Amino acid sequence: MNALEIRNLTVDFGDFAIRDMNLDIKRGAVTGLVGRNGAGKSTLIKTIMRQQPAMGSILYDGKRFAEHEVEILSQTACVFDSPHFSLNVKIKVLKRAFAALYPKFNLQMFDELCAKFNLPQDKKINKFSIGMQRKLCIIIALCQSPELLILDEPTSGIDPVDRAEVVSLLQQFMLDENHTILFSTHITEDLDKIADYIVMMENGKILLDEDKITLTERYRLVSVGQMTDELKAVAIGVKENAFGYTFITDKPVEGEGIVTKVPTVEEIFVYLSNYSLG
Amino acid sequence: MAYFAKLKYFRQLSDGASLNKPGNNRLIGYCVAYVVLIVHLITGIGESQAVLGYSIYSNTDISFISYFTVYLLSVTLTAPRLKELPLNYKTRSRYILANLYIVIAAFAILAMAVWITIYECLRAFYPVEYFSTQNSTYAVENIYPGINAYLVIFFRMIVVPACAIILSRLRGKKLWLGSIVFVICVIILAYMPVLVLDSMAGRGGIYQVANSNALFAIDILPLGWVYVVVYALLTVAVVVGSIAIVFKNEHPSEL
Repeated sequence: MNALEIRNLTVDFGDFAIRDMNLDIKRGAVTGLVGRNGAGKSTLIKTIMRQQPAMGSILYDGKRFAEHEVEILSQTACVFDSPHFSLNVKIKVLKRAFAALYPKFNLQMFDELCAKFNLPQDKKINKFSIGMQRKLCIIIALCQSPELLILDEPTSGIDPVDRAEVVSLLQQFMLDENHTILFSTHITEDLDKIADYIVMMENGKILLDEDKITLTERYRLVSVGQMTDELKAVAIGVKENAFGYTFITDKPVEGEGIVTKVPTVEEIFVYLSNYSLG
Repeated sequence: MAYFAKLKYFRQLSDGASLNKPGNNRLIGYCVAYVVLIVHLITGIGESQAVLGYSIYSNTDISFISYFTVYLLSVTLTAPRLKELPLNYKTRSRYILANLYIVIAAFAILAMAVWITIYECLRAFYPVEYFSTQNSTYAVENIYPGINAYLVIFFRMIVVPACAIILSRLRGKKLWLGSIVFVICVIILAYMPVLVLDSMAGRGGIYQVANSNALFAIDILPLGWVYVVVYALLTVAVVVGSIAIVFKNEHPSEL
């Protein structure tokens, strides 16, 4: 069963468009959404969250939104790239509001996580740093007890120690096999830790949609002093540096002076983006 | 109480930052245009004469304060956050409209209470006869409002901010068209008692305007009640329109 089934999705802004996109987000898995700025990741997330007019169809756990509005919304939580609530209130006020409007809001978990991440509840949200606001958004989303968690750049602006804590929280969330995460990020290091599937976007199109293990097994990062015609034929996203050339390839390459290693998600992303841009 | 608490929490979760989005520059345009219009109506048509002559309490159109308040709140209540709440679109629309119409009703009732108190106290202390004895060429029949004028002022307190709900939900060409229609309607409704009803009564609109408060003339003109009926119908139409547009906007797409 898919948590999300996106079919023939079209969002047209004139100068930028997502056209006829088809994508399945697997239930019980973490899907990492990567792409350069302006690739369409946030647009896709806003469309999934019904905040962007679009054409096509999106099924949520096999259900249509118009017929199961409340059920779908109560099972879905999203962290956008900026807080989606008034910043001019104290956390404790916000807590009361969420508790009143979300029947499954976990107050005990909220208090524990605020204490854990040093977020004083009697302080106004606009007094917090961007990183602290992001942590609060993630806590609020988790406390809604969702089944589908959608995160748009959730760890950007958060210091490395707290980022590791956030990733750990997401791993805990995924202990329930019915839970699903769609995770858009530039910090692909986080995806290396928790993603099961990688979706790569470029100019509103899906460049790649693969499970992470297959992806990292399929490609090799190659470093070589000289490019031969054979290597040029199999190289993807060639980069020149002071020591020679690097590229990724999905074909076996061997020979003298050729060093290969398993690439990280970030390396695959960078070289594939480089290749797609010609 | 629980319902009102939910309305408050619903409002608190709306995105205050949405007011700072670039699309809301038009609000400044509205402020300037509407204030200019009001100042023009007050100073240009009889009000200055009236202030110098007999008008004791200026008939300033303060409904624009309600208009801007409701416009800002209405824009805030289009916040994306509210579309994420586990509510169906009908409940969400009802919460939005309840928040807005509580503000509109509170402002209208407060303004009317202040107005009626002031006018009736003045009428008690300075009856029309008092002005009749003064040495002036101006007529004094319409120096104080009657029931018709009170009703129209009350309807105006409803219809003007209700227009703000509609305009806050329009985009692009529809917004421009809506804004133009709104301003034209404000002008027509402001001039109507003097240019139509007063003329029908054979007294000459300009004469009546210059005499005293234009709006209060509807209490001494034979067909003044027509103006009240028109205003009432218009108010009902705009309120229904505002409800319809919120429900239409909040309805989920077929995506």
